[in-house]
Amino acid sequence: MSNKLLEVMNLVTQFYNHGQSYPVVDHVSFSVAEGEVFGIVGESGCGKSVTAKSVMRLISYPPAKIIGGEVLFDGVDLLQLSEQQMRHIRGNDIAMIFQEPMTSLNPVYTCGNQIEEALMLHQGMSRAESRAKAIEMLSLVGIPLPEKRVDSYPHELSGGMRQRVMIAMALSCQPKLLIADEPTTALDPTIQAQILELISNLQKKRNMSVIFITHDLGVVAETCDRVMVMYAGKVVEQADVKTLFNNPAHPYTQGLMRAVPRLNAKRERLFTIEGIVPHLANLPEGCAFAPRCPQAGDMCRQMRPVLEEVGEGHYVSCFAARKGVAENV
Amino acid sequence: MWAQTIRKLLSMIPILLLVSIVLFTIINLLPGDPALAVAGEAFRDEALVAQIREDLGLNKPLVVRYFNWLGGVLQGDLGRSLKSRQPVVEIVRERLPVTLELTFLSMFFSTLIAVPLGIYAALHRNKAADVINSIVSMLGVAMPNFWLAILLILAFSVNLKLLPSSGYVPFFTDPIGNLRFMILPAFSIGLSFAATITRQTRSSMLEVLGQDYIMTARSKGLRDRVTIWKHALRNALIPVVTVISMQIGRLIGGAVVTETVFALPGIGRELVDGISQRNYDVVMALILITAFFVVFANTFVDILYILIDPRISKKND
Repeated sequence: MSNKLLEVMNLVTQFYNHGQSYPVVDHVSFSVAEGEVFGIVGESGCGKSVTAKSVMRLISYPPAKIIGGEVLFDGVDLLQLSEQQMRHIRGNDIAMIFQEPMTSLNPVYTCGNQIEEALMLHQGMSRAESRAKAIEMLSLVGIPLPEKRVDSYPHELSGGMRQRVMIAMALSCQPKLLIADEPTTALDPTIQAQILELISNLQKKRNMSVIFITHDLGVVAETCDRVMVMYAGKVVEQADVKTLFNNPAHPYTQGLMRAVPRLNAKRERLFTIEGIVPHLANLPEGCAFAPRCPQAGDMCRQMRPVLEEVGEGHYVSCFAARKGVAENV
Repeated sequence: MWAQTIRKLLSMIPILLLVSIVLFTIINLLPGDPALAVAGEAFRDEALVAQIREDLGLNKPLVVRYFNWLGGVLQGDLGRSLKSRQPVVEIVRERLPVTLELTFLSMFFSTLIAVPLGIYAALHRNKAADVINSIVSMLGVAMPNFWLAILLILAFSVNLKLLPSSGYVPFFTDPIGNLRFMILPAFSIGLSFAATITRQTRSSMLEVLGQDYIMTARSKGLRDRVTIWKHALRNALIPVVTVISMQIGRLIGGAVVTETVFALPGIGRELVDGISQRNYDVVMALILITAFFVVFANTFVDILYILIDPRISKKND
């Protein structure tokens, strides 16, 4: 587990919009070990997806551009590769699945065609070989009658089935890393559970690393080994999943935990974090969370905290949390 | 797929029948009496006029005349020109190829230029090339065909003396000479067509490039070329094809006017002359044939949809 497959260091991705520029991913660092499931949590617009797309270098300029940092994959800095070398990594070593299965598949080509494409490109398979492999993949992700479905068009399948096709496509070239960008958000709960289980099983079977992007803490608890919480483009807390759930240190993480409805709690109004996420072009001077933070002091409004280790593998970027930990010790 | 194609083709029949009824009614509602036109200077001789009316079958009821005419049309008899007594079929055979060639040339080359231009503009959005392209397209849409035709004659025939200003030789007699006569008229009709197609291609390409499946294609590691030409273009073409089909009627209409400017012996001039001379059989035949080509082209495009977009054929089968 200790072998680092992916190591992201001080990644900065900037947005350029109407003459303004502002970082949407601000000095983000994390690493994913081989066979590890790493979660990125945060609300909409906090930079989770942009972080993932920056790793794949799928950010297009305009409007966005990666302006700093390193993305070491198997020891190679992806940000230094040529576009051609990068294409060889995409779909082959790192694959991605997206939030919207309804629109992520091209409506005018068959599912088989879209799976075969990557196989022929990266594995040099012939049309017949790649077709056989596509059928094999479809059956692996639990699609009934794969010999028939391989010739189906996306509109003939349900959302859950389409997401399975996406997974089949992503895993067809045996990638070492799968980035799943909210893969269950657009599906209904029973299908969500099936898809999560499928990803989980395949991950274990193939000892693949997975970056799981979600805003659903339930999904995190179920699937991830380690988690990183993002807020306004920055990492606010990072820990293994147990620590994060049992002992969340950052007030934002604590707020997120309290905002989850629980079956065994007595009925009362659900907790909400007051206020809204500030616009990234217009962040407050100190900690970005300070205006919404119940524990914020003067220091929080003037200075930006940095990520510091408060326990083993537990990193927090918060003045109040550090003080709290110090008092406890 | 085949069943659908046949169904589409069969649906042309009622449309054309309806066109024929409307056409026949309107022509016969027009003021002016063809018998008087045929009698010419002897129009005061009432016995003669009555005789002509009798010969032409003009004093039968409208419905009977319609069915007589339709019966003839279905057997390939389009009637005779009132003036020259020449069978209309012969006139059509002489004139139609010119108009069809003109329409085809302008459509084919406009599409050939406009689609890549639209793609290029979309890929270089808001750069100089895109802006220039937008301005030219806007001009192209705004300029009336016949005015552009006159300007082209002034520039290329009168001043530069590169191309003939009017006249025609059949393609099979002298292909190069034929094309020399056709370039200017085809260009003047084609420009606005091309401009419309370019703008449509650009905007639908931009829309498609923002779709999730383009991100999926890129995340697979496909080359940009494959992403654009395979994944984006086919989706982007669907609305473009719609616009092309809607423009076909306009293109033929434009051909009719432009032929007059360039003195091309197509159906356009024959039609204009026919209307002023109350040459009913000629007018009806030419309009019916034009309608046939417009309907046929639109049906062809409908069939093309089935090929481009799998969602259509599966839904209806």
